[in-house]
Amino acid sequence: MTLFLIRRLLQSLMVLLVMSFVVFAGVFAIGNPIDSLISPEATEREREEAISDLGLDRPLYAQYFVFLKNVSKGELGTSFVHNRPAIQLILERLPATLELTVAALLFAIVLGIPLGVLAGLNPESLVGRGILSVSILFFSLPTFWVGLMMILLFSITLGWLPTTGRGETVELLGIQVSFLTLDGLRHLAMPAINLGFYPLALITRLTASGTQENVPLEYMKFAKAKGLRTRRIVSVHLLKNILIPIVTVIGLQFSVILAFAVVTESIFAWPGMGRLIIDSINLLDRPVIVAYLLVTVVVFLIANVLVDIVYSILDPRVRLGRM
Amino acid sequence: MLNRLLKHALPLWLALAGAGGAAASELVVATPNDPSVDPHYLYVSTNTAYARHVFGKLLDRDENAQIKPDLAVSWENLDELTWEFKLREGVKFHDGSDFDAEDVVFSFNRVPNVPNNPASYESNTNMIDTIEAKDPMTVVIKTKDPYPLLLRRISGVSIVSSEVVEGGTTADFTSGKIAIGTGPYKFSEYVPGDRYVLKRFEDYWGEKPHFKKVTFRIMPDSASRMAALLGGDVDIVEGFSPSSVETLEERDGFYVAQRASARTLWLYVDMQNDNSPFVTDLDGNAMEKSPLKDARVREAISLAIDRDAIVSRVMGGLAEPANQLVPAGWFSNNPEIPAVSADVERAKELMAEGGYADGFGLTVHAPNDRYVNDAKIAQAVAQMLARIGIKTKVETMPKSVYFGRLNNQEFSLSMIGWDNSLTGSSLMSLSAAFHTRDKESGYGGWNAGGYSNASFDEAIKAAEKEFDPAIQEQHLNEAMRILIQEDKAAIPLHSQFAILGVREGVVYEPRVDEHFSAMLATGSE
Repeated sequence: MTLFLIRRLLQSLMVLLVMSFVVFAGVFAIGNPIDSLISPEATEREREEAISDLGLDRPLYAQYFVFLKNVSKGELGTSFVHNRPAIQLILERLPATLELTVAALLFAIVLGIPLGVLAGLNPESLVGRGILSVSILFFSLPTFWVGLMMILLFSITLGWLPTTGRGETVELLGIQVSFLTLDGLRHLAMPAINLGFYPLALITRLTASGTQENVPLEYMKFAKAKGLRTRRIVSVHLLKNILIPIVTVIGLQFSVILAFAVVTESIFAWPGMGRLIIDSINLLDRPVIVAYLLVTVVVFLIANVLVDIVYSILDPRVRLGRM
Repeated sequence: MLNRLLKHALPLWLALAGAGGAAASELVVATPNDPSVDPHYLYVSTNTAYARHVFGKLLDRDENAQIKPDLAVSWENLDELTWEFKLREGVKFHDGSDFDAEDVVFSFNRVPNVPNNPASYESNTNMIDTIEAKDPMTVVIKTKDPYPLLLRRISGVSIVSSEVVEGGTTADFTSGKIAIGTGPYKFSEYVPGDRYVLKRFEDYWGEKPHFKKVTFRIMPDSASRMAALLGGDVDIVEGFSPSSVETLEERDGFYVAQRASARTLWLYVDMQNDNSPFVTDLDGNAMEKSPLKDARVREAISLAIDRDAIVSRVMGGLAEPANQLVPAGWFSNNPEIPAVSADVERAKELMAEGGYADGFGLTVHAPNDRYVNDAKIAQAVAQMLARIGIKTKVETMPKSVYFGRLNNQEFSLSMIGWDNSLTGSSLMSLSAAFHTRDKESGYGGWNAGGYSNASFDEAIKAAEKEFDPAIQEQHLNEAMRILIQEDKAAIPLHSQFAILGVREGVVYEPRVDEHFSAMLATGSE
């Protein structure tokens, strides 16, 4: 286990280094943030001053080394737009996105696994076919369209839920959370469900196909022959065997949603990290873009480690040291 | 936890069940713009608009872009360089302390010294040589050169409290700790990317605004802003898309607030390069001499563009055709320049006279996220140019890429929209966008067409030094005549309207500079 973690850590550092360079070079190539930020009244001299103050007149490699030097001191740079440390901006928005992600995934898991098992056990029935067809719909409908339609239906036509935004928050362990207030839940419902549709479809289909593959296997027949109730066969024997790919997908989806909930956050005006990255890209706020993508990489790496650990719990044959 | 849930949830539920929309004393505004709470950080028009709520200035610009007294009540020129301002008595800051001349001096000195500022407000202070507090209610400003524009320039300098802000940073403003001004609203809460909440300042020296509380909800997506308005969650939508105008007008309970704004769109023409980067012959090969250097060709391009069609078809009527760089009815709008109406036949003749009867190839460049319908306008222009044989391509890009390349003179025919409200005249656009580039004196900072004409430059310099408005206008009219009629170096398109979506029950009349101002909103009940 220790060896596994150390090896993973080293690999992660390599990935971070490569990633930081790719992002840095990419943003450098797009252009100069000053040109889109500076006021049209500014003179040529003021513009050059602003550029040199921010160190943007230096060549790419020099800027990159300054960046690396600062990173070694634990600083990821200061946002051009907000004049505050980029990492602080990101962490400030993390709870909102985390809340949304967890809610969306819970929705997807709680609904997806039972529906998938149901469809997998009765693949030829009307219910099974129905579930699988609808899941295709959720795969293919664009998030922004579904989101707008939901707002149109539930907020404007029916008037049940607020259109957008994050509701009332309360402090929990020093973090502002909104799922403990009714207003917060009312605001959370639509974006979470909208964001959860894709993983829901994914989990449903994976569970269904896993179930279908496992039903004709010997151990299932044996369990049935032993006279176990269907409920026990499914919840103990079947689930344990089909969960590995599902856990992988949940882990991946968690990182993907956390890092790139951009569309949903924009449509529902959810003050999360996804919005931050889009705003920063629009204004070429380089320190925030770089810091954000590095944080994203870290999130992916942590999620992958967690997934590997869960594997070893689910399947005793998996030994972490050998991975 | 259950207790906690009940404690918070119950009163909220009651509150929500009662009120469908916002309460009458509160105004909720959906805006795409995240503010900078620090009024001296990041000089963009949306921040200037936010700052007007919380901070006072010596002089401000009113909704018609005219100068009006704010913290200064009177002023006089002791000589061409020296200005004396008498300050308003009895003005309080939001923390209850008194406003005096020290605050003014401190604020002017802070403007150029905010660290890491990519867009400084210092273009409003850099003509100032010294600024002193003569006594607690008198400020004396000395400029480096005679500078009649000073009264307009200082409207860009927000006055902060010297006692509170001394040693403070932009982050301290963001947290609200030192966001203390003399304006009609005071800072209440700012959650980045989510909302900016202001409360009415009850000790404001002037007329108090109608709404007790203003909440700016920061929503980047225009469709969701519209949905929030229709769903009753917000009262006013800023950054309202013209494509939504029809939808809103069909619905009961909403209206579109509109007025002609100070922003005029025009096309830069590459006047400098013999081998203009995006001009080709009909087969796509580079040309030895750019046709754009021929005034007849530039006139033909202008005549080929049907501005009335752009206004009615692309802008949905929410714009005014332009024949010069400031809107009709404005100071320094030259009345002798005739309106242009499309004349394809004459344009073809001019093309033939220039030796380009068969046309040539050209690319028009425009941003796609900056002005109302910018990309669509560029497409319309391209189609109209095709009618006189110019094979025109369109390339649009995000503003973050566009403006850098534009100012680098990388385009041949390119779009810009200039807000004339700072000077209330053509002076800013003419001197920044068409005066010969001169790094030392700061002229021509946006001269993206490489235009240069000595008599034009002379007229601009004369206008800038002139204290008498009537004579200044003559100089500006002369400069505009040279630019538009003689050299045809800019091709005006139209002046766009400021439009906002508003809920019935709230009355709002937009400002000419497109700045949102909660002080202009009232309730009709």
